[in-house]
Amino acid sequence: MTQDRRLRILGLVVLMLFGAAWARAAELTTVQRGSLQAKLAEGRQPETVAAPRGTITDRTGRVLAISEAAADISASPIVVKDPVGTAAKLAPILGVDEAKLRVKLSSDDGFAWIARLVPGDQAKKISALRLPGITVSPTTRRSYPQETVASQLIGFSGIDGKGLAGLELSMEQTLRGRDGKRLLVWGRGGDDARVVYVKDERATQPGKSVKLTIDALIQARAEQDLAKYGSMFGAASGTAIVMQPTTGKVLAMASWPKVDANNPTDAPEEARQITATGFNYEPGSTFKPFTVAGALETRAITPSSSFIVPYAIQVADQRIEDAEEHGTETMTPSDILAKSSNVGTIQIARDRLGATRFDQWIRKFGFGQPTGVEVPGEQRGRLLDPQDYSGSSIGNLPIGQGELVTPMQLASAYATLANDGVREQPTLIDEIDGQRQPQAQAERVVSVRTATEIRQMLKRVTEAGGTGAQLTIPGYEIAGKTGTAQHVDPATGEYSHSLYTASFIGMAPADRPRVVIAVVIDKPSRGAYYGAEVAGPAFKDLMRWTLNYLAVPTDTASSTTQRSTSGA
Amino acid sequence: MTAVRVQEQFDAARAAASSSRPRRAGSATRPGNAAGQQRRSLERNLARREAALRISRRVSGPAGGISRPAPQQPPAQPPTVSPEPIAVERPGDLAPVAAPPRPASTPRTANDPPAVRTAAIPARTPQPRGGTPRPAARAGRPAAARTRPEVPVRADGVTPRGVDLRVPTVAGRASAPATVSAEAAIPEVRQSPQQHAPRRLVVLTGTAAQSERGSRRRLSTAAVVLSALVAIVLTVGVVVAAQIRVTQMNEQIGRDLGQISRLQQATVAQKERISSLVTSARIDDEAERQQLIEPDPVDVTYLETGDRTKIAARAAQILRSQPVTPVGGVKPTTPTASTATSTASASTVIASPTTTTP
Repeated sequence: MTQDRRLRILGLVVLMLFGAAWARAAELTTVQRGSLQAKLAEGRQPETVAAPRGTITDRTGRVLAISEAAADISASPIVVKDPVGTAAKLAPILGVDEAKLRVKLSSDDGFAWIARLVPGDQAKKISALRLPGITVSPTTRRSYPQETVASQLIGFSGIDGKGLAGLELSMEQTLRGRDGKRLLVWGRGGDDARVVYVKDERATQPGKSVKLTIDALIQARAEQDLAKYGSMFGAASGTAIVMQPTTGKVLAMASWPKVDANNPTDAPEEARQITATGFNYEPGSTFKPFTVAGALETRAITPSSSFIVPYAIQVADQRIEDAEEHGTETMTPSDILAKSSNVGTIQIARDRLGATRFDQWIRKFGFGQPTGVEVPGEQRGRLLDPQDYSGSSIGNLPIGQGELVTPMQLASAYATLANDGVREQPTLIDEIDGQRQPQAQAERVVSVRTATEIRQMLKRVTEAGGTGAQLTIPGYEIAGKTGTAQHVDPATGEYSHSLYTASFIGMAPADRPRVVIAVVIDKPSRGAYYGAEVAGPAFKDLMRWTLNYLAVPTDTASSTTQRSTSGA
Repeated sequence: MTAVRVQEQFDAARAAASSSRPRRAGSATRPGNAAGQQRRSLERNLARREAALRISRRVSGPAGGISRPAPQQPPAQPPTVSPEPIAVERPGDLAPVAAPPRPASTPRTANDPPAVRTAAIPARTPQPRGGTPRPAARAGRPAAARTRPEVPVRADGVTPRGVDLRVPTVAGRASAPATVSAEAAIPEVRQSPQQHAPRRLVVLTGTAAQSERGSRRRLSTAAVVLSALVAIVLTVGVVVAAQIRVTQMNEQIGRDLGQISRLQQATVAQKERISSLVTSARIDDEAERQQLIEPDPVDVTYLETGDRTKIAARAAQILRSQPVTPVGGVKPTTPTASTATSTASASTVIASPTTTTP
């Protein structure tokens, strides 16, 4: 056979093969076009890829809020051809009553919810059944593994994944992601379905994770102590704040009664409130240190200034007395604070400081405006404008009556005194998506000397003769102030003799405070109502545990270390 | 010397060479020194003829008048036989071959069609000994200047390999006759005793050459078409294979997406479980169950800033010596003044309530 002939034969064979391939392609694109397109349409499934909401963790990484895959199951009853069979298949998976489901699927409605926020594994089983008239819409479900810990602070999100309260609401823009869209084409139907084609039409953008300054263990301990003493004294509510004065970071912001974040609607509405920032009250004696600090800073008084303090004082048309009857005594500012003398404080404010400078200093400490902590609905309290002062205002305001403050404002102001007169912006957010958040500009309020002098005065509160003498923690010196404030009786418009707010705010170690704790218990109703009696024990337990947890050196260890280093 | 004379001498030399051609393998004998002398004389003659040819070209003028390709035909008048054969030494093992004797011929003019000659051709482009390489043919020269030798046919019918079918084109002026240039460009090839029969150089001119090339083109077209078909089939095959691979990859992507989703759900579930396990309430309950104590900071005396190697042992020793107290309970050795029920101490620590006289 010649070469030419061989080539011709080979060419003919190739042409035949090519022709066969073309014929098959032509058949698929013409004869079988309709059936193939029908199969393709049947297997094509556009899918929404739900964007998970950002995770909220505490400062150690413990998860406080997390999103898990879920789905909403809906039905078009008029499209459901076999409601009995469909109900029989869905009911065991969803764990619902089959009869009720059958009734729902048998109606003439165009749309009906079957189940909301179904766990992801159940949703996959339902999706694989490919029941006509049943739609599986992917979504996410919020879960709070710590349940009651920081529940009011974290808040909760609604059924559509939107934040409704707490940090879930205030950080909505950060936590919320953007859903994506994906096209899936299935190769076969039924149980043997498999995806043969995937195309992401829009990328899913998950929400950003938020790391709080909160320590879940300190938070839990604070809530535990609040629950213990709140229940013990029959209080209506309580709050505890733990702060680092040098950074402004809030380690705990507890509220009582407890609320389960996974079932927030089971608790009353007032229980879901963040008491630390949403509760306005008259601070009482816990406000006195700031009156004295203003006078010290302006050098209107000195720590050794002497005052002749009677038992009562007349201010305009009001007579104001000390809590404990005594004779006229000579007191220093330190004595006035240690014994919490109303008369002595009024003398400092009225006779040395003056109304205008008093107003300036209390505003400088941050009262009358929100602290800026990242929770929704923070109250600003209320301060009377000096122009609106009455004759007796200078007799009430300096001792913590007549103005409204929040526990967070008080804690921040005491943290300023603990931080040598520098006010750090209180904050709850440490990192967002791993990025540390910039710290706000610090502000000097009073001098180091004034802050140190005030702390020395507040140390005497927990020493013998002070109003909080029993509030001692072995190994540490505590500086703090008790407070017992009367509520205004709505019926009479006057101060009540049965409704009080007990509080104690302190810092430790007194010379170089590492922790500031504010405890406010509202309306104790079982006999005791004084700050030292009701709020003091809660403060002591919480401070002791927190100092141990944070491994803060005791005052004796600190002084030993200083002696050894100085002697070395 | 005219071109015709040169041609006649060439034929004669060739005839002489063929007459003295040695027999084929086995019985062939080398001419010896006489052959070498003959070879050298042939080379000298060839060089002289080339020189003469160049001179004659300058005298005769352009050869462009010869435009009609001459048909392939035997020479009209055989040239005279040159007493000295024209031969060119072929590098290697060729024995000198005397040019065959040529019959006498009338002088040719420039207008005569070029004669067709067949001559043995060298395997390679020969270089005259001591001569300069001939330049390539200039444009416009007749096709006869380019000759294509006839492929020699061996006794066994196999085309000898390595046959260089190229023929050196004739250099020179356009005025020179083509035949002269063709003949001058075609040296005599001496064959070794082992060589096959000399290949015949077929000088094709005009349509004859084109028709020869046309038949070869038809053969090439079939191969080209076939190659194109094969390439298309292979390309389509590659495309189909790539599509199949993409489909497989998509299927794998679909499986991977499902796996990713399952792993993410599992991760979330694990994080939830971890978070629920480290709750304070559970830790406190577990510590109480195991009767773990929580010492006061002032009781923590086993820590030293220096030697840290024996801290654990010292801690265990001190803690074992202390009475066991459940976590959260009151240590009996520590006086507690913080309970609200102890009213005895409350009188000295009464907080100052704010009282006002409306």
